[in-house]
Amino acid sequence: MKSILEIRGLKASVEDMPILRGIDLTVNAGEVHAIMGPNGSGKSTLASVLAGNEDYEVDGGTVEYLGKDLLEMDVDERAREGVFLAFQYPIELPGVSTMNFLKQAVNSVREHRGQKPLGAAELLRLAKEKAALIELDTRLKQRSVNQGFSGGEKKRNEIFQLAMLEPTLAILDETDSGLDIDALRSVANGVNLLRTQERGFLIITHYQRLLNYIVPDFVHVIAGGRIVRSGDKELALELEKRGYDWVQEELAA
Amino acid sequence: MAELIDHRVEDRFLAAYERYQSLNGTSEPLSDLSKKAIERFAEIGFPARKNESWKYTNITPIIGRTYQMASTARAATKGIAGLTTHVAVFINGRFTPEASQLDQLPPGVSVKSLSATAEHELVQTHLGNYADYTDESFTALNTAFLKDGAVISIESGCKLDHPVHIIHIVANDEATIVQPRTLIHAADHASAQIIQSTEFRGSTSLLMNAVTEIYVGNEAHVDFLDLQVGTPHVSRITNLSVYQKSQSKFESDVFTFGGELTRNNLSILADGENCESLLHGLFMARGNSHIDNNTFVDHAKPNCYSSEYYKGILDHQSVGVFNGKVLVREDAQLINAYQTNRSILLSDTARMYSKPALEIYADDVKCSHGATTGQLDKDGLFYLRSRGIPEEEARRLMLTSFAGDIIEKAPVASLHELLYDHVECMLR
Amino acid sequence: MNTDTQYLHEVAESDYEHGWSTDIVSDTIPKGLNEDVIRLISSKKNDPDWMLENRLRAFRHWEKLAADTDKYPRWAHLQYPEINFDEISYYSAPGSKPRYESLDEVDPELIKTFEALGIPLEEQKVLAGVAVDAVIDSVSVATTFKEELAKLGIIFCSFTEAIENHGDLVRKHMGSVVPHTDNFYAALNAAVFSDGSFCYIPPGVRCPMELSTYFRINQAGTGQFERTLIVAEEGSYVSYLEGCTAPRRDEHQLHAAVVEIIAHKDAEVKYSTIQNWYPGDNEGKGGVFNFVTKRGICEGTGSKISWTQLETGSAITWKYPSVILKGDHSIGEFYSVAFTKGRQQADTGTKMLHIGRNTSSSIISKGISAGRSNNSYRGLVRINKGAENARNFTQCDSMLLGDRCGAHTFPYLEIQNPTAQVEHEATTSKVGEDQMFYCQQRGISEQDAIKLLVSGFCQEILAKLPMEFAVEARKLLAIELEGSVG
Repeated sequence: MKSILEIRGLKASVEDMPILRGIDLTVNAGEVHAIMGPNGSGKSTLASVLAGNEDYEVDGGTVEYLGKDLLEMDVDERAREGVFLAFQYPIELPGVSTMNFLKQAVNSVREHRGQKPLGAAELLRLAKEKAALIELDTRLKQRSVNQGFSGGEKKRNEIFQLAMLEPTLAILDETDSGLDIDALRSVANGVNLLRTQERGFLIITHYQRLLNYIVPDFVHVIAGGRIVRSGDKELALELEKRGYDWVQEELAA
Repeated sequence: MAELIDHRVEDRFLAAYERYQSLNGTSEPLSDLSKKAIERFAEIGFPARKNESWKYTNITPIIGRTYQMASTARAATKGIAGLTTHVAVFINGRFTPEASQLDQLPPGVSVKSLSATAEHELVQTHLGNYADYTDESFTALNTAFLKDGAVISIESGCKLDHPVHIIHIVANDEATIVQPRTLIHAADHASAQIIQSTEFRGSTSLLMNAVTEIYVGNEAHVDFLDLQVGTPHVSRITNLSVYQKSQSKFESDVFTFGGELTRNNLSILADGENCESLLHGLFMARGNSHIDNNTFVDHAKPNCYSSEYYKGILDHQSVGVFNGKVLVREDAQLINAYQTNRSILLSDTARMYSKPALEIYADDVKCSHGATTGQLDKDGLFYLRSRGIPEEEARRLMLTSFAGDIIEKAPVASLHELLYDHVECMLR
Repeated sequence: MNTDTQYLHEVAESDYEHGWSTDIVSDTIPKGLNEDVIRLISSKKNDPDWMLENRLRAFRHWEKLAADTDKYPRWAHLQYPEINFDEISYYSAPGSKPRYESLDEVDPELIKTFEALGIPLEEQKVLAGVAVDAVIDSVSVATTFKEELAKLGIIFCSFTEAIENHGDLVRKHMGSVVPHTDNFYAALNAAVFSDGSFCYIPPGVRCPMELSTYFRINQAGTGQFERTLIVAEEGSYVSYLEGCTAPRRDEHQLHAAVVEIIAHKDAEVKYSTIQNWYPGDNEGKGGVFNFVTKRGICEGTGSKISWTQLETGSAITWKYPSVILKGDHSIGEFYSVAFTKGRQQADTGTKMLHIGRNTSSSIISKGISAGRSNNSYRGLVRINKGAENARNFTQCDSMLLGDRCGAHTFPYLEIQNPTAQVEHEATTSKVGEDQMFYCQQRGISEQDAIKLLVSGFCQEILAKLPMEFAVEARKLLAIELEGSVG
């Protein structure tokens, strides 16, 4: 099986406070990995570090992405190489039209892949198709990026962009937080439709709930900046039942 | 035309300086500074209206009068009831130890007269260093006539247990100009609260031209509260110049209630990283009062925070001016600076001029300002009346809470009640 | 961070597209300014006597101001060398023959100039439905669509023609909003102006197309002093567009225009400007000094005047399109994007003078500074004593691209009526880091992300421009933001 992501002993800190204390994780093509853990355990930090957020300092370890050193790449380079982050709190871009934004993003990625840039008509057609996939209100495309969107709309918009950019590695950072059950279902639906043999998913979540809809191949529990337990989807159910204290207690014991 | 008259006014002050010097002699350590200041004053003269920072305040009628220089006098004060403070009394600008209560000052804190400490290193190093007499006419004038004043020193690491209360008593029989001077030096890690208030014993016109310099050392903390209660014959020009070192905190709270003409110049130079500067002001005017708050925050170093909040209530023919400027110098990155001015006009003839300005030369900053002028919120008024509160009462309640925003920020809680009393008095 | 700075340098150094000059024969009078020059200009323009009188009166006033260098306007946040008014030629006309009966008579080089500027004077414009009055150097060279407009009673012609054919209208209104005594440059303009546009919309008429004027300074060592006068009668509507360019010259060129708008009862005038005068090179050499007085009066009840501007050019911009809200229920608007780079300096804003009852005004200003430029908003909101229930809302946002430029905000709020509600808000910041991260995480490069976000920052204003103009404005802004490479 082809490996997409190899994380070895990754350590990272924010403002001199260590958050990740040695993460080891391998994601292969076609796999869905769920990363769970209590608040402050470092799961969102992992997502930010992988995406290249400069607020986080990498203190050690390596990240290999498709055989290349991911940590050496700039944020936009990573994105063009196929790393996509669905933000926990998507950013509003006042005055920037969604279609214009998509055009630039899609064509940057396409150009990098040696594909022809899409014209306006092709892009519109593609956008329409992908929007249907995740039941995105097409009117949102006419607005400025994320501006005035509800929480649910923002999250759907993230998955919509995921669909448009067709990444190799998709990282979903607490995409389920703040979603009502209908939105959760349609977001999960969209993600399931986007699961392919070539693509790997890293799904970061606090609750097991999302995993009822997106069934992971692997579940990892992060606590104190390390992966303390790995298993299959049963682990998520056990966590749901026994809470995070269980993992931490077991660890302490 | 106008220039001719201006010249004559300035000449009067220059002549007075000559007389004053020959009469009082020159105390050596201060005379140098004094001489430089009068020479500078002779050059720049009084500010004209076309001077941007004096655009809305006409001082011609005030400076055109004939004043006597304040002389010595005797008086006593009870201070402010219910307030535990160390009291330093100045009568007509002269430090008067026998009227003061300073025996309980904690170690490392001293309040002394300027004339007695003029030769001290602290005074020599700091006096005239922050209050700019080269550009500000009134500061030049104050510096030129410099005779006495207060020197408050808080040594490194020392903390004042209670505020020092500077009480200026002005007793005059004829039109008088009084020019108090204060130097406050808070060494590194020191902390102090200073309150200043004035009592007027005369009934003829008075021009008070006060200069206060405050040095706030590294990680030091100074609060300065100025309570300005005026009467229609009192005009007041204050110049408060503050210099802040790294990680220091400074807060100014200025309350102006009435008076003929008030001009408060407040300038802060944040010359170290991680400084915090807070500027709060409440001004209430009625009759023909004119109150002008002119502030300048100069961010010279990165990573600092400043927040400015001024509110005004203007009735009758009174005029309010808010003239605030924030400067962020080149390379002073990561500055957060905020500025707000809200005013309410109560009569058809009251006026408000607001000029909040930002001058920014660094890109990684968050700066904003806002200004609003209007009437009382009609919905709020309606709500109160719907609860059975008579309109007049409802208006007073709302105005009091409008003013209360600033009062509640004042650091000396035991003063709040007195401040509310003044607000009520102004609304009556 | 470094690539950031690098890109910003590129932005700051990107080239001026319209910096060529046209090789056309022109009639330029010798440099210098005195009463004889005024008379010469007047005779070249075939002025009626009253116009000559006006010019002389204005000139005498200006002379008095100019004699005392203390009276030069210096309050703006601008630094520039003293202008030597004797080193300027005050009149330059393309060709020896000052006016043209049809486009065929126009020097083909000139037509090329306009085409290169993206001003299709002919077919394309017919399709686009824009009537164009083009002023090159000092003289109006072509006015299209005149006849179609005339059927509706709309007068749209050069100022020279207006003086000749509609003398009474011009005489009545000219100087009524911006008198020659208004300021230094208004006085100069009133003395030496050589052409401009005149527009009259009769009562009840909605002008069916956008009226448009393009200004260009071509001749070296000349100043341009045009006047625009727009009179909108009761219940009428007009949307007016103005565009400006100038060739690259090593010396500074002076542009001192006056625009006057009169809106009668229920009339609405929308005035849009794209100002792209040559800004000078990156060391501050050359460039247009743009000292412009633009003012409209909402004379009648319910009238409305709206200024929208995109300012990207000029070495110095000194410009405050204003509205006098005299009529009850009248509305004034000012929407502005000002972009400065290199060594450009802009001090621009507006004045909203509330006089009538129930008047309202809105001000939205977006300033973007790059390179070593300085960009200031200066705006006055005055609520007069009798202006019951006046409303004003002002929003000024400044953005800094780089750490060697300045962004400043100088609002003046003068409130003399207790029923006023005046709100002013301003912010200064750089492009949001989280926004940059978001864009880049989608594969958009740093440069493109900055462009995208800056355009977004201006979008609110550009959206207020008429459709076709907005497209042009976006293109211009994109060019301005573009690095010099490619």
